[in-house]
Amino acid sequence: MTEATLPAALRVEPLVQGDVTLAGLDDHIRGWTERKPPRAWYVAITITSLTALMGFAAIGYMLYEGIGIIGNSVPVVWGFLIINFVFWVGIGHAGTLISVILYLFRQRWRNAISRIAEATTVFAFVCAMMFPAIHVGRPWFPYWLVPYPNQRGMWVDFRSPLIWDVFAVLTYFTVSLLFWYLGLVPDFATLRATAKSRTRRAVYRLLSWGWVGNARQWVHYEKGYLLLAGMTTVLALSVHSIVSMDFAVSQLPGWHMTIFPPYFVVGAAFSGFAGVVLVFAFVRTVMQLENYVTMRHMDLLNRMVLFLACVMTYAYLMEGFTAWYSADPFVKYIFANYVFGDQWWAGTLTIFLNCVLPQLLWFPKFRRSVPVMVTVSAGVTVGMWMERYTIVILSLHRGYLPSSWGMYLPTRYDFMILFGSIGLFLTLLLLFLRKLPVIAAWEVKPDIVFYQKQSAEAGHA
Amino acid sequence: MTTATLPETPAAGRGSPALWALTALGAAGMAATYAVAGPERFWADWLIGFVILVCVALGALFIVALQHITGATWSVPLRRVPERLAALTPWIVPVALVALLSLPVLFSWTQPGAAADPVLALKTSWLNYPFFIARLAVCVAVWVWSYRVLVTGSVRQDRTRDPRATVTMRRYSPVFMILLALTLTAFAFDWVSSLQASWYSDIFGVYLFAGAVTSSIAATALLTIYLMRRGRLAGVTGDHLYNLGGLLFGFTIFWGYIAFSQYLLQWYADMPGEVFWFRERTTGAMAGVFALLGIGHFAVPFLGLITRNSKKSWKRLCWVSVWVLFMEIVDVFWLVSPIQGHGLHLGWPEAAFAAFFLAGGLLVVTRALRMGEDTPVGDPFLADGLHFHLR
Amino acid sequence: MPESVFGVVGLFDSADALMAAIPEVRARGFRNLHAYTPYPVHGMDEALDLPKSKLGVLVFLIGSIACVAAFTFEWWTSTRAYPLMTGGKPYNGWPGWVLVMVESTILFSTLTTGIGMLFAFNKLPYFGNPMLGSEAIASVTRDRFALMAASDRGALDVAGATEALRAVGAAALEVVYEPDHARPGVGWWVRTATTIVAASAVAGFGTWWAIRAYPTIKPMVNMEVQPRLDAQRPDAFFANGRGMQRPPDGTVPRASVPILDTVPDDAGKSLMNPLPVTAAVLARGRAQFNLHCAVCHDRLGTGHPWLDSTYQAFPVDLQTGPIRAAADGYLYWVISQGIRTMPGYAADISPDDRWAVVRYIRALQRSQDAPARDLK
Repeated sequence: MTEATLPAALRVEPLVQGDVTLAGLDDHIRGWTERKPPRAWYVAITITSLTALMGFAAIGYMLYEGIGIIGNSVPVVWGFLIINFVFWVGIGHAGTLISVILYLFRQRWRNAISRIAEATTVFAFVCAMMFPAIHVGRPWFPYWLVPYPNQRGMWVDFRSPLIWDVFAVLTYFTVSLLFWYLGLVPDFATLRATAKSRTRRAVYRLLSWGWVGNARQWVHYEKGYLLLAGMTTVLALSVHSIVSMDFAVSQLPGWHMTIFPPYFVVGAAFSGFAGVVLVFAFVRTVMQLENYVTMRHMDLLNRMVLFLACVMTYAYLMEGFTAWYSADPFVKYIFANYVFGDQWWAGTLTIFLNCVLPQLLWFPKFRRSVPVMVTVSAGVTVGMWMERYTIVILSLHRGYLPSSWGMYLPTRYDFMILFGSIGLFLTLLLLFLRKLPVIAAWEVKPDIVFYQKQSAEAGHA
Repeated sequence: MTTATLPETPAAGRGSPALWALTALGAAGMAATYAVAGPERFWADWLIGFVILVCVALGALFIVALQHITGATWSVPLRRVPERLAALTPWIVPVALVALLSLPVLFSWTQPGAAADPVLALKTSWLNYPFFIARLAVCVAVWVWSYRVLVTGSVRQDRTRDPRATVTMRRYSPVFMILLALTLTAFAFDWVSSLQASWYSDIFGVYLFAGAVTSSIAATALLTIYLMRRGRLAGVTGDHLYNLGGLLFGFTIFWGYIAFSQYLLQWYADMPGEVFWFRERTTGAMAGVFALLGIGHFAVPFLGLITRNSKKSWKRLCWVSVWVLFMEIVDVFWLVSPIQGHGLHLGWPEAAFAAFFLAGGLLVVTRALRMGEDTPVGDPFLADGLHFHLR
Repeated sequence: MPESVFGVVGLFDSADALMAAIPEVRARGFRNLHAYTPYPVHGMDEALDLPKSKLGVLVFLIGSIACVAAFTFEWWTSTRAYPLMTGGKPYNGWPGWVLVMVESTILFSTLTTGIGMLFAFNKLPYFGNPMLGSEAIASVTRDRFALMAASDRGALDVAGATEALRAVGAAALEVVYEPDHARPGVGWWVRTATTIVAASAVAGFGTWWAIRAYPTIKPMVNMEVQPRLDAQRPDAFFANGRGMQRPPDGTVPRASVPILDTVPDDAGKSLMNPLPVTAAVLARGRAQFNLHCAVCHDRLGTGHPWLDSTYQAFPVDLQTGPIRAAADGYLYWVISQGIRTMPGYAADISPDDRWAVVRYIRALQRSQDAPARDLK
């Protein structure tokens, strides 16, 4: 059956569009690494780096003056810092999921967006790793988290979720950096030959290790890429599960839920996909990538957001139902407190932004409308932050002992650190967009060849 | 590729006499179970068969809907296999009707003392006869209806060759997924979890789902290999098997992940209200079953399918699939059987039930092998799927 | 010295053209063929008869070792080296170890994948690759597909290869030569080694100087130094300058029985050991003895001679005659109140445990001087 006789709903748009060639893609990518960026870039990076500096200043002051300057206080001993940690780890998951899981499922549309998605993973993890380090009670002993032989004859407790965290986060950062870099090697080889300045060529020469694209190299390269993809999938699953177990192995009502591990993983992917949609909503037009990252890509990304929103809704439903079904008065109370308590807006906002708002994406028109997708994705990003706020703060401030109930109020330093981490993330992202290949050219090139063949056939027919 | 190159579908028989004999033998053994071993043993075993039937049938529907929802084309030539497997779905109705009789025998919330139990008393608005039966009716209705849309529609497309049928099925699939999530969860909570109604675990629906999909993929792989070996799936190659093997491998990891995190969290928190459930299933005579489950349901298929070549080899995929299906039985046995009290309730009654359900299920599936063509010849993407090669 | 030929390379516009050319060039007797492409072309490994990558085997091996090693390490630290009871979990709480095993497995397998792929299997870095000096390299990392008839152990019919490539439609034919300096000479190694040594020396002395000049900078001084009492640290708050205070005199633990005797010999007459001689009592006594007493008296009760010179403490040898002859009550009194330089342990060991220690001392004494009938 030919394409033409198919009903409109079954037709598949090509992955690239317009007048694209292999060399054109290379030149487009190289162009952005060599040309002077637009004025808006300088304005943006000034703002983001100043914000990041403000965050670092707040962290410095906190380390100097003491942890009392932020809002943490008994019974809410985990505050913004842990929320931010979970939030950034979550954002970091999208890169992996887009790049790796979609690769395993041979979804070719991930090729054009994988590079930027992987970059967001690495940068989000830079932000995330800050928080446990500054959050430990005695930040001058962070190495105690690592099992090393010492004269005290002591070892870490391997049953402690904090130790799981250390292993998980460090592994994830190492692996995502490795994966990102390996993907860049063939693209560095391309730039090595075509970059304008001598210095650049020398740098790219070093970074590409003498890669020449020999078929013998590609055999091992593809095998390695596949293996990494498989293992990174398991890693992504395990890392956010471990983060969730920081909460779920406890006995606190609202934290001890068996659905937490998959629910956190889905939430992480959810916020991450929303983050990637936000980045691409701007990048694809500003950097003129529309021919490679088409509206079909955005449509598919938004479908993922919608799918994950539905799974999140299922998880919320299960939590609410189980809270009632448990017949445990404390668990029942804490879930009612999420939406009816003193800070009812946190739980309500979470449900609205994560479950209700994304339902707009059922409509094909909205999946392809930039204003709608920006609104929904920004909503999801905020909503997922609020979800962690709900879990961390609202569960802690109403524990088993009503005599120990308390209230939580963040201070200005909490907000400075939160916005500082966003500034750091955006600064790193802006630097990346300016200096490194933003599209994995060696992955997109086969799609261009396929498209060229298809267009030629259509022309003949 | 057009239908002309596909081999003619040989008509399957009425089912082999051996299967009929085995079913009858199983039925006789079941009657003997009721008379000799008592109603509790009978109903527990019936429930095990019921749960496995629902898991395999719904898992098959899930695989079909998954293909529609993702728009995958590689699996189009194989799709008739899970569709035929889903022919088990209508048989849920009689099995469920019989299973209703087990309610007063097995379930803790129907026992005379339940009203006095402070925890169970709080749950009576959910766990009572009318509402429980109504939920079952809704679930079964949804499943049978989805079967009609997804499978009967697809078989009709063999004759009509109308691509719009594909559109309908693709539109229905997301709806089905949502309904499946809700109904399968309700089923898991009602028919397995509420056997001991004071226990709860909010991942439980997903746990049953993971097992269901794993076993359905295994059954699909077995049936595919069976048809391939008979030359009935021309154009299906090792590359297609590789994808099936990959799915089985992936869902094996998923099952292991869900099972382990549920166990770890309840083991770690050690709250008396929940941990008793695992205690009954991990100590004493059940310790061996628990270990077998951990190794057999996860480690064996994981190591068995880890290499690329093992996923392509029909022999390897065949024995791993048989093993996975066996493990699904062990899994449901592990969930349900301990409600009868201490000890391992395993003997000739279980063999009789296994014979009845397995042989009966095979009879249904062999009959279904006559349903429609061997490949969905009306699907506009069949040619794409037959041309599928691994990259 | 004339340059030796590495191979003859020709360019194609599409991967399909390249794939079609391979069997034809091979048919002309050129076996050592290399293909250079801007992206992995499917089917190329079969067209060139390339062996399958063995990377997976290596990764599986290293991953399995990492998994087992992580388990062994966790088992050893948690049950042998430093058994610590947390959360009421058994020492051997394997469910809690699984996640670290998973992470370690993945960390080492992925590192093996990345490093093994680049360095072991592809033998990178290889900046001396003759292709890097060719004209073709700019095209094959961009949009062209190259086929090279490479020299086989230095032998290549250049004219024949050129002709063969031209015949299959390759463009921009080029002979690629081995550069003379493909392998670094002695001078390169000397320069590199000198640079590394010099850099290490500068870094080392710099660090040494920095530590000397700025011994300790405490950026977190307000967090680290807080007005609180630390156990076993000096503190100016109390008159005796200690952070940890002994309980006031006469403090007794819960359920204790005050000792009314002021002299140990009296106690030896008035107090009787209330505990029976059972394995459980002796085990209890051994635990307390090894915890509190063995540090000076040694595990056999003989005392550490080296303590004498170092600390001017002279722990009594519990195996000597006077102690053997002393009554249980005497030993109990000494343990509770202390004697000479030995402090009293009434605040640290419960009365029953003290009695158990006495029983255990008796067992120790008997163990070192067992009568013949014990040995039957």
